[in-house]
Amino acid sequence: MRAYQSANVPGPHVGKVASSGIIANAIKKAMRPVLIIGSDIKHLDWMRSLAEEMDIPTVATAHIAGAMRENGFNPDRVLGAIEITNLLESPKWTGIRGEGQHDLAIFAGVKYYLEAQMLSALKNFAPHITTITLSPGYQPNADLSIPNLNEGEFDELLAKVTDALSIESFRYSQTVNLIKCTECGDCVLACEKEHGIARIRLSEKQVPVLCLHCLPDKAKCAAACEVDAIRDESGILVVDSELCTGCGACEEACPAGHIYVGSDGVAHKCTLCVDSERIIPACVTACRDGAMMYGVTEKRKKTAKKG
Amino acid sequence: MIKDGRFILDGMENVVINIGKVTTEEELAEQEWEPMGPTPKPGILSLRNWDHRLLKDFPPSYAPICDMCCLCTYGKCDLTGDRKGACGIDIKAQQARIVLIACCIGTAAHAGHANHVLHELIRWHGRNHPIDMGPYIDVEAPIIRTVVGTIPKTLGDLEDVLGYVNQQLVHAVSSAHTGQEGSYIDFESKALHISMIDNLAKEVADIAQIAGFDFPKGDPDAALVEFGFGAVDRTKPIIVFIGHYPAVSVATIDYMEEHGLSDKMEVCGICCTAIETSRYRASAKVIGPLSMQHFFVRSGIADVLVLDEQCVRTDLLEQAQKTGAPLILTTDKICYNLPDVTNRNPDDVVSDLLNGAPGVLISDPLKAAEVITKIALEIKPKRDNLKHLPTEEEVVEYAQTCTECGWCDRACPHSLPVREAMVAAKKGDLNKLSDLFSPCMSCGRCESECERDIPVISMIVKAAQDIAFGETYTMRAGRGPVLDTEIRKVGAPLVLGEIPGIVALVGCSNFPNGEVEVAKIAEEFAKRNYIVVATGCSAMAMAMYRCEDGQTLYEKYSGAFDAGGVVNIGSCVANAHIIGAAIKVAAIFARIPLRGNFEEIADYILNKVGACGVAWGAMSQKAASIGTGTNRWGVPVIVGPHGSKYRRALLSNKELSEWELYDKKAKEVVPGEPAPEHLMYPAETMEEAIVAIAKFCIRPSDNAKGRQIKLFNYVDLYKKYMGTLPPDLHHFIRKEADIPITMKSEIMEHLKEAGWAPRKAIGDPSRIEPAEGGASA
Ligand code: SF4
Ligand code: SF4
Ligand code: SF4
Repeated sequence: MRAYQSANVPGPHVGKVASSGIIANAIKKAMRPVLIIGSDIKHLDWMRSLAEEMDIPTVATAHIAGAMRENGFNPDRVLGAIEITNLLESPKWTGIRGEGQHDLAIFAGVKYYLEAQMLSALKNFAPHITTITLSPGYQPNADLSIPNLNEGEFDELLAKVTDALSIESFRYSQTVNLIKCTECGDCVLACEKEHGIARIRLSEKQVPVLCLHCLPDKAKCAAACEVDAIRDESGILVVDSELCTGCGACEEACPAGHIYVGSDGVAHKCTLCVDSERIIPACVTACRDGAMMYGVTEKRKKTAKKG
Repeated sequence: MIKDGRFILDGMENVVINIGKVTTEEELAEQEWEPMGPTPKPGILSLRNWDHRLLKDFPPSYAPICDMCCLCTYGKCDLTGDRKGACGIDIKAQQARIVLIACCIGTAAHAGHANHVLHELIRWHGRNHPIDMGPYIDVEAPIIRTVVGTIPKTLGDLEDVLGYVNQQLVHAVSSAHTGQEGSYIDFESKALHISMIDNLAKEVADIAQIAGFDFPKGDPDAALVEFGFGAVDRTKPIIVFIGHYPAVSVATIDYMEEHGLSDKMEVCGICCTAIETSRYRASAKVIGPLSMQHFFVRSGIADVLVLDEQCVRTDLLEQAQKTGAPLILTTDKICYNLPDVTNRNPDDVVSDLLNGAPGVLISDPLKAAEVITKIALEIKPKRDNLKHLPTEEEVVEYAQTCTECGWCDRACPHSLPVREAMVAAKKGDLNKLSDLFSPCMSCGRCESECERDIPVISMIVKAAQDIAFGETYTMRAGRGPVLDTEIRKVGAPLVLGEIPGIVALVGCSNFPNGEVEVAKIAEEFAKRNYIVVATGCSAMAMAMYRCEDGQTLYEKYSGAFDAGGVVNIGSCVANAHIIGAAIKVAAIFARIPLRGNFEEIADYILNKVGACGVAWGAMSQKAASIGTGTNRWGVPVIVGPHGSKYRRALLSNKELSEWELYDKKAKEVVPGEPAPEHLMYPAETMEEAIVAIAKFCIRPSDNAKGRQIKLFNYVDLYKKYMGTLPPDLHHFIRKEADIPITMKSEIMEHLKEAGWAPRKAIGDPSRIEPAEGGASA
């Protein structure tokens, strides 16, 4: 996708265009998110309910604090866009609430070109932070950005994010674009770094064998497990290694050939990193060709409802 | 060893051998004015310790606008995150390298200007033409004195200074070559160095101009000149000068005067040439800052367009051709593939132009003057019937071809709502187009993106014609340097804080909402008794605004360098005099020796002179070097939101680090305060900038009364724009006496919450801690 300001082309590493589900999922997943509201903000009410309902500390940049207070929305801090960016870069900073450096920065309404610069700073110098932009217009420097939307579409997207934030269980998916995939194995390496043992493996043809992320109540692996070690965590199946006996029934049952019993004697399957501190799955971030993709939707497929 | 000097060999009396520069008796006497300080003509290494000290308190914070490097054929190199380029450079060093390159380009532009103007003036008046700054200026070249360690008496002396400037540029540019510097801190140090050289080059340029063109010598009552599209008398032939280098406009005015044509023609300027020309003759009209050039050229009013150098639209040949105005180029900086006719007969050139030659290059200002005047007179009647802007009906028709794709908005650097204006114009409502006139800087990116070739700029000017052509304003002509007498008056109150600060609005004024923001910033601080000074496009921007009572700022406020003054110092090169004024506070008020004594002077300014530079619409590389040079002298600078694209800020971090200063009186290191808090700071909005300016004027040297005044303004402005007390207030209160009396109770409450405890004011604050065992400075 072209950047909203069409010449804002930073380089080879550009962020993902995110759906409402991915945005909501990231916000829910974050341990210490921060919401940064700038002078061009047009959806203050929405932002206020986000901050209140998700208990997210808020920074007002520029002089927007005045307008926010008039709307009954008291920012936790007032800082220049560059000042909060500078603080977010520092591993020493303990965040707005003193609870530790933030893991997710949500930008909304900082002037497009200034926001692009701040996101670039974080992309390059704050690997510990995931960034989302909720300003209308694709920001390639954000890890997760909304696409180029007109006003009506943007309102719709925010409404969908609201819905998605309120649901318990997401529907996950993951694909690898085989045309883009160069069979480098970076995803496997990143998975191993994150989880100790790689959950994804390469097939004989050297492409990653992914989990289908079957609906928990339909998944063959979970059904096959006699000790109920494969549990549903908000829509994704996670192996409880305490309970797993390493019997291999799941491995037998999985139609994709994904789950397997590792050298440590327990089963391993992809969780899209929901059981780690990462906000974006490690393999997705690691894939430099942008071949690895994941999806999170708030809607269950029709078939799911029957079950 | 043979000494430098002038030798006449016995028996060969008519042969004079010069070795090095000849030193006359007079010059020797001159050199006695002050003992030479430690760093005359500093090289890159001479002031490196100072830079590292600055960068320790204000570490660079980078925001790459591009993650790549493509400077050599190893590249393109992807430097994102922790990657390195093929030469070994990482992304921080690369950003700093680009900063250095930008500062070198900016410095070279000013130095090029200085070289041009000086050589032309030496051609006019000779090397021995005296530099006389009038009876009220004794310290006439504070930057040259401090950096080079000399006092220039003649134009020839300035040439020597430029020799040093040019040499430093060579070294600085060369360190940006692949495989040289690798540390971002040292790239920054080099950028600071070369930007100090930029200030020096500007001082040379403006002193030469004042001496050679007889510009005002610090006149607080410089004339008010007419300003705006509407100020131009369209019944006369109109000549418009665009750029920075005034030799051609001055020569043209002289030519007209000699031939009795002065009142028969209109001489107008855009960008700094406008300011310079009005410094020469107040009858010259100022069209406006550089953001106006495309609008004005489109409107076709100019009969002849004359370009000199810097910040000129590079497609003006094409634009001029569309309006049938001949284009005269006058320096080697801009040639546009046009023929150099400097040595041809002027009348032949005029006849070529009349017969359709689109433009010519004439590098001799005196010859150019003749051609410009003659062609203007001759072409005027031929252009009278040309129509340049679309009619209102045509504007609507153009709008109706718009497909509403929105790519204009996406191409616009400001994301201005062009599409929306087109949609309204389709239905005949031109108000939204007209509203774009002020925030739009007529860059033309929207037009160039438009698949339907809709002439957005022409449509905007047409829609806004009542504002564009109807309004006239006034601007005080650039006055030049600050007088010693003025410094004597304001020195003590400035250092003690009783005059809360100097607010210097410099550089371009394009962003982000047009000229009006620069004017509003000026008004806010003039009202509060700060000293407001301006140069270049910012000085022009301030003219395009009326206060509530209908007066322009220049009409309403005095032109004196004093509390509550609104002072147009002059063009971009004249902003050297602003640093000059800060230096003179140290020299005249505190009696610190200047000669070759950069570090002590800069340390004084940083800790004791409450000044803040504002380059609100900074666009150019010159603005990068102006700002960075200002920083090296110890003055913080605020840039607008687009300034974040310069890629680096210099920020302290009061939450994460302790502040330490050296108290020269107590001879010990003491806890300091974040004053000034940042050295280079991009603000997002005008309101944020206003609050920051008030804060950045606080200095450790303020006495209690001065601190009260500064804090009153900071708190008052913070409340006005943010609605509460500033949460960082406790950082700036040393003892109860610092608290503004009218705000005492609420501030005391805040202090209690913040766990504040009184601390000692610093007797003689400094950033220079003497070396172990050494004496204090
Ligand atoms: S491991 Fe296999 S069965 Fe289990 S969810 Fe993944 S694809 Fe489905
Ligand atoms: S200068 Fe260095 S980083 Fe730039 S292209 Fe060459 S090798 Fe790559
Ligand atoms: S000409 Fe004006 S509206 Fe068009 S892109 Fe430039 S600033 Fe924006």
